[in-house]
This record gives sequence, structure tokens and C-alpha cells, in this order.
Amino acid sequence: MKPSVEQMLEAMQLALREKVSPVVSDQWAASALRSVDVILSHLQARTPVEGPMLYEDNHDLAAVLAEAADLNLAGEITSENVALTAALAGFAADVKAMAQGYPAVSALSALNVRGRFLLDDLLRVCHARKGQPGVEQVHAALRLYLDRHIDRERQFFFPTYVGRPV
Amino acid sequence: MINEASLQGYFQKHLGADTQVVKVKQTFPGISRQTYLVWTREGNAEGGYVFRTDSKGGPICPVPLEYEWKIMSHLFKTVVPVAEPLWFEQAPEVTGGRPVMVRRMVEGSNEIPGLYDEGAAAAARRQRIAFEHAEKLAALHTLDLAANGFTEFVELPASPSLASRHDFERWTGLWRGLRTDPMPLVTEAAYWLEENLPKNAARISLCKGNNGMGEEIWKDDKIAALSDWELAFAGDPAQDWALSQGMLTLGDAKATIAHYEAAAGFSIDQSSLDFYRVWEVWKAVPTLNNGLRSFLDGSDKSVARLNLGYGRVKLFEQLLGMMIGKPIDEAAAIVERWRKSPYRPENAAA
Repeated sequence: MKPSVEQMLEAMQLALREKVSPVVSDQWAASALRSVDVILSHLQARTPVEGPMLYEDNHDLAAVLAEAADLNLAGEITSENVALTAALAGFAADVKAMAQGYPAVSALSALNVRGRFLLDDLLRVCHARKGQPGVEQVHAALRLYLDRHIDRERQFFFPTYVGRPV
Repeated sequence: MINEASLQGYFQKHLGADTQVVKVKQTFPGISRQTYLVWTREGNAEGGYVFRTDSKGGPICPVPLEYEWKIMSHLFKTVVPVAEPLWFEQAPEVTGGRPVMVRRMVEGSNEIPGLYDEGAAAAARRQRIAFEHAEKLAALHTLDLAANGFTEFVELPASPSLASRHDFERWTGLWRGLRTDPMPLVTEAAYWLEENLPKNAARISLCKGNNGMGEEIWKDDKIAALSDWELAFAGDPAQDWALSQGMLTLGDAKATIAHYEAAAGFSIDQSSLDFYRVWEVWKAVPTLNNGLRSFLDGSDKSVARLNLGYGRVKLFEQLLGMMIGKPIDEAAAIVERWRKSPYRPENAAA
């Protein structure tokens, strides 16, 4: 049996809190320690679940973006959005491909960023075409995804980053 | 490295060969820009200066130091109290090419000892201090922008009714260009805010940006100098009250605003104030996220910059998620609850 990454991070944090922080009087050093403490808390929350979270989020994104692509929402506006439609299809294919084998967290993260940029583009399309058929439905689906996404991430940032900013 | 030795020649070049730098102290926290207090001996006289430069990775706030320099240089000629700006250099050797602004040190402190003491006398003092701040904001907000030269370099809204739109366009444009992550919820929040832009600014004023507790130099319960002008802009004066950092809770908020309105000669609309409280949360996202860029490219690996540019930004994203789509007064109430410590999201959204 070996210690988990979270246990090791927790041990580092405990050492800093119990042995280092009490003897640090310089305000710059104390501030740096507070920042490090916050990062260690963040990593303890993030490390064990980031991979599965991104995997789930990417599949969620793929489904939401596919719904938008089915409505041909992006392609109807300008020729530039033909590229957006192609990007949506490419994203769906890459999510499917990444389901095979064991993807690295960095690869899942890069794909997630790509998908959320596409979603950001689609939000702009929805607002530009407000009131047109099908737009409201797609927009509602995008909004619901955004709620789910920040729910998934919440534990990484709450209550970790609440408090003194520096 | 900025210290007595490195600043010795620099100050001699500007102040004369008999200048001796005797002490240098960096002010805390200075994440976006570094500020150093410099004490000198000049012949038989003593001098005090404030040396300000960008951090190694550039400023967090996406505004050049020269802009702050120009704002202060123009303000110094008005009734608004600011420290005397002395010189600006775009790329001096002493900082390795980072811009530098030097101003004269003002006697006073950004802290007011005993401010939160108990008792009626302390409460009355807090109200007087809030009035003092209100009077100084009124002096700033009633400046004639054209007559004082601000229109030469400050971007102006086309009319008071377009003041919020002007700020909205400026910051959403900045966000699209500088973001390190798509954060589509922030985009969606911008659309929600756009539907609620106030259109009733009393006038176009020079606004300070961050102001209030911790921002200004106080002496004997009076403002000796309004300090830190990097976020100054021309816009709706109500917006400054949304950034007044504790001033409206220092005494009776209605009395403080009434005092300001009497001094300024115009009113602050409550619904506008609510909007700007929420808008300032949104604006914090591009402002702080800009600082993460230099962390990501490796030019500034400070943990404070990492936490502000990443964790704090994601915190604000979560907060926007709680507010998006709600009536603005409800959203503003969430912001107010959020500012109370200890903050927990479930309390804020309840």
C-alpha cells in the first residue's frame, strides 16, 4: 500500500501550517505561505477527480454540441460558421476516439477547452439569432450544460479560494 | 533588484549628485505593480518618494502605467488631492526596461487606526470619515473633463446614457482578447448584463475605479491623497460607488449618499448602483485573468499571480453562475452577501 497523492499533499500542508507558518513573521513570506496553502487545498480537491470529471464533461459537451449541430445552427448564419459546424463534428469525433484506451488528463483537458470554445461560439450565434426557430431550444441546452459544468468544478474552488486573495 | 544600491544612481540622475538613497521599502502586497517607498537625504534636507513600476510579468490590470501617470499629472492641477507626480520613464535601465513612475511621498497612511472601535463616538467618527470620502469623490466627479485636459487621452462615452454601454464594450472586448480559457459562462453573463445596462447616468465623470478603504492616504481622518489610479475611466459616477470598498457600510449608507449628492449636485440611482455592483464582479474576471498570462508563459511564476489569475477568477465565475438571469437587485444582494465574511456560496445564493 502506498500513500495517495492527496495524502501526500495533505502532509505537506500540515507541515507548513504547523511548523512553518507559526514562525513566519515577514508579511511577504506569510502571504506566499497562504497562497501555497490554498494551492495545496485546491490540488487535494482536484487531483482525485479531475480525470473522471473531464471525461464526463467532455461527453456532456459532445452531446450538447451535437444537438446544436443537428439544428444546423452555426452554418446558417455566415460562411465563417461553416467552419464552426465542421469544428463541432471534429470535436464529437475526437471525444468518441478518446473513449478508447486510457486518455491522459492533459489530453482530456485540452479537448475540454476546445469544446468549451465551440460552445462559446455557439452562445454568440444564439444571441445573434435570438427569436429564430430552434435557437431558444439550443440556447437552453447550452445554458443547462454551463450549470452542470460549474457544478462539476465547484469543489475545486469552494471554499478553497474564498478568503484573503493574497 | 530594486534596493538602496540600485536606486542610488537612478535618483541622483533625477534629483542631483548630492542625493543619497537612505532607505527603500516595498509596499505590500503589490502583485500587479510594485511600489517602493524611497527615503533620501539631499544635502541637508530629507526627501520621500514613491517609486512605482510594473511587476516582472507586467501589470495584472490591462492598463499601461503611463495612463495612470497621465491621470495623476492632470489631477494634480485640480482640487482633487493626489500625490505630486514627478516623472515617468517608459523603459529605464534600473528596472530592466519596465516603466517607472515616481511621485512625492504623502504623509499619512492607507489605514485608519481605531476605525472600528465600539461606542457612539467611534460610530460618529466613521460617519464623518464616510462623508469626507464622499466629498472627495464629489470633487472628482464634478471635474470638467475637457477644461482639465482629460479628453485628450481618456476614452469618452458618446453621451451619459451610453456610459455603461461604453464600459461594457471596452471590457468585453478586452476579455475576448486576453482570456486564457473560454469560460462560456462569463460570455453568457455578459449577455445577461448587457440586457440590464443602465441608461440614466447623471453625467460623464472621471471615475477612480477602486476607491475607499485601503486605497487612499489618510491623515487626521482626512484624505491627504486619493491613490492608485490605474482603473480610472470616464463614465457613470454611480459606478465608483459600486467600487467604494466599505465606504457605504462605514456609516449610514443613505446619509453618505445624500451627503455626496448635496456636494455633487446630482443623484445616484439605486438601480444603477445595483447593476454596477454586479458588473464589477464580471469585470474582475478579465482584470485578474490577464495576470495569469505571464504565469502561463513562464515570465512571472509567483503563486499570488497564479491564485488571483486562476483560482480567484474561477471563484468569480462560480459567483456569476449564481446570479445569472436573476433580477439585478437580487444579484446585487448576492454580491453584498458575498462580500461579508465568512462567505459560503450556499449562503449567498439562499
